[in-house]
Amino acid sequence: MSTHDRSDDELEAGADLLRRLTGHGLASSREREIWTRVQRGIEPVASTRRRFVPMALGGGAAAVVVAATVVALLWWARPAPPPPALTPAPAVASTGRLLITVFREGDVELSQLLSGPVGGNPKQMPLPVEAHGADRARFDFVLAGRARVATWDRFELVAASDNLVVLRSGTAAFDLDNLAPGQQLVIRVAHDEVIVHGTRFIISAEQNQLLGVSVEQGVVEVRRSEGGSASVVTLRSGETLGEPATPSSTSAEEAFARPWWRDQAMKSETTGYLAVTSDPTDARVHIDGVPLGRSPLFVRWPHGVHALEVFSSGRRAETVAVDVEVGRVAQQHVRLARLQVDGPTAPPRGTTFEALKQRARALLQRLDCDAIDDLMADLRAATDDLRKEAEAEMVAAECRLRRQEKARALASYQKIVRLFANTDSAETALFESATLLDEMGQSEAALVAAQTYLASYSDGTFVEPATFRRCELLVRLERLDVARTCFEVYRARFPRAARINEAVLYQATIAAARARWREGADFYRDYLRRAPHSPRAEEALYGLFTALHAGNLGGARGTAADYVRRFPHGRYAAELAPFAESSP
Amino acid sequence: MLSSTWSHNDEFLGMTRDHEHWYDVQAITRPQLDSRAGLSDQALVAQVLAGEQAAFATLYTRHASLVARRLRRVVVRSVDVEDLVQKTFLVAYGSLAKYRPECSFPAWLSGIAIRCALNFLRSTRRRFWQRPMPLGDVELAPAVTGTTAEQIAIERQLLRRIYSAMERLPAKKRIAFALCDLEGLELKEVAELLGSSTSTIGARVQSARQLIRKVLQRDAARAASARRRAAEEP
Repeated sequence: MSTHDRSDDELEAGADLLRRLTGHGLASSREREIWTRVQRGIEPVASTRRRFVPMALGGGAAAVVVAATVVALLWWARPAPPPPALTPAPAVASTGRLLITVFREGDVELSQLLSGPVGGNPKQMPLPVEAHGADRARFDFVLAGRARVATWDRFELVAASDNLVVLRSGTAAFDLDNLAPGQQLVIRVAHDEVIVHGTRFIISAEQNQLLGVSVEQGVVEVRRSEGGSASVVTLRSGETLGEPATPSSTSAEEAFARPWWRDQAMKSETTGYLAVTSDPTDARVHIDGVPLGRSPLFVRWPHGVHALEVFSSGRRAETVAVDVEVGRVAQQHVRLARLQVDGPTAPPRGTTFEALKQRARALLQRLDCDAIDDLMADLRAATDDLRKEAEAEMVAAECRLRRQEKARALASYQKIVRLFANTDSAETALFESATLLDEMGQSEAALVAAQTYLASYSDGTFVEPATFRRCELLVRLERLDVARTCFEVYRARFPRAARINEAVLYQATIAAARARWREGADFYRDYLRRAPHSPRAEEALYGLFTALHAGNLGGARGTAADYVRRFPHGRYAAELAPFAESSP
Repeated sequence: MLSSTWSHNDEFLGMTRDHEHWYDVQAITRPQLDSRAGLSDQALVAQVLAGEQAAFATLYTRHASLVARRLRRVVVRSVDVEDLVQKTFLVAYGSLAKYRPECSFPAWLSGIAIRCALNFLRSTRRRFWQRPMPLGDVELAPAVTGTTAEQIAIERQLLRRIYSAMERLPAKKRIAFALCDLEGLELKEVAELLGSSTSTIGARVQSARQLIRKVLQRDAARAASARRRAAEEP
């Protein structure tokens, strides 16, 4: 039988198995559970206050309705009560330039918070927590393990209690897990309140005035008090009231697509905290290759050793390994050295260029990229030095990047690479291009950029991260044989790199994908020896089992037993249990 | 009070509402109590649009399993399927006014489900090393028919390989393959669901099959070479 025929048979047999695997609907208990979730999204859940509107609509006893209406109007027309008494706290994670004020502990700025944990552990941070965000700030927190809140740009917000958030100004996105019957979350803006029935929405306020509410999923009820009278509006999925100031290129979907929400935030038992400060501040921070935001940054993160990369335009990038312990704050201060400009520099023409550059930097702080673009002609005219011109262009590109206008930032970086070859800015721009292309999902182009960088700057500032990125991109593009060699070279050249463990795991995965079981098993063992407590140890142990089992190398049962002992409730525990039981 | 017209007023009247009781009074657990069971989908939609939210429970009961099965063909993992079922019905509820009664309700609902799945597949395109092991947390036993340990192992391995190949497909091809080859829908039906032409869907299915075949061939070649190497090793 030819290979083609065999693969046809396999396709048919495999499709048959998949058909059987996926041929069922929902178990009745799951069907009920999902229905309750759907129902919460489409109609108000139990709450005396929220019951008011449906009760009236439902045509209950007229007297009761009238009485309830009067009581509700009086209730809602009263002044907003002061925040409730302090209660034990939720977990808080934040990033961006942020001041956190903890009422009980006095005014504590983020820098102080980072230099000494408040109350011994940020998880014990008492409510209310008041947060003020500056430009580009981002503040994420979890209320009672169910309401996830992301704010950005300038904002003032008080998490007053488990079920009350006061928004004074700014825009915040909320994403709720299922509210149990009787539970509710209220977002208050002065006398107006937004009562949550659904799951995901954005709310904007300015100077204690509610600007608007936009619902992405589910239902919210907006109660407004104006001139002593109350009005109630129910908003459903896709509906908007007023004009919520959704920041450009940001949506609630995007806000919650950040990694710590979905994957890390709720796993407090295996997470610690990572506080990153840098000199200069406002540097881009990546953890394990994931872009997280800008310094100073404070995030909840899985325990274990992670690769922390800090980048800033015109500065040498730093990559360090940080060890995050469960429930503790790992602090890391990174100093980014200024990139040296080699060769003679033309004397500056007075201070004009410097003054213009300072102005561009001030505009950068305000993210006024269009004004920076307008300034570029003057900057070009003020200097004959290509290096300086390139630096000015970098400011313009940086501005687009900070505004998350990735395509425009990429175009700027590519322009710098093209026009200002042989400058440090071109080197940084080329590396940034590779990073951006990767982030934008253009893996092929990112690979070309990374390879161009490595060919052009064999001893450059970003050689280590560029090499790793190249290897990673090769894996993503499934050129596994080249990726294998790439990781070998990487490990040989950068034996002390922070991502060395990650490289070993990649090598193991590649070997397993190529059915080189013995080699794969060796790499998995190596990884487990290097990072026995890493969050990916479970995956590595399962990989080791698979390699030993598939390669008939012996030791699979012992590995299965080890897995089941270490991860009794792990993802593969049920599959490995029979092997573990038969282990001697 | 015990039918799906379960009133909002019961709490007001002092009734407790713990989870068990809540489930118990729902029409979905006692379909025989649902007075709407005999109504057509179109009539139920009209009732929902007229403000009878409880009629939506009947629509849910009637079609949740179909939606779940269609979604499972595409995304396989139960937890993802459940999230998408929820999303599908929430989207459907919000868009009910756009439903045209001359169309089949299950087809309209399936279209929403497939669009949700498409968005989901696109948004969860993860990095290679962040992908979980193929079918790692999916219970495989119901699919496996082998009687000996070896047959079972081979079938499990094949399932993982074909699923892994399917995961590599672009979202649109994956959906076309799943609906045609797994769900058994006609090209025309899939084209209607996805809002494409029959020839486009046909091309996508062919391309998906080819890609999967290619992966399977490559796997087989690698396994053969691994066996050869193992045999040559002292």
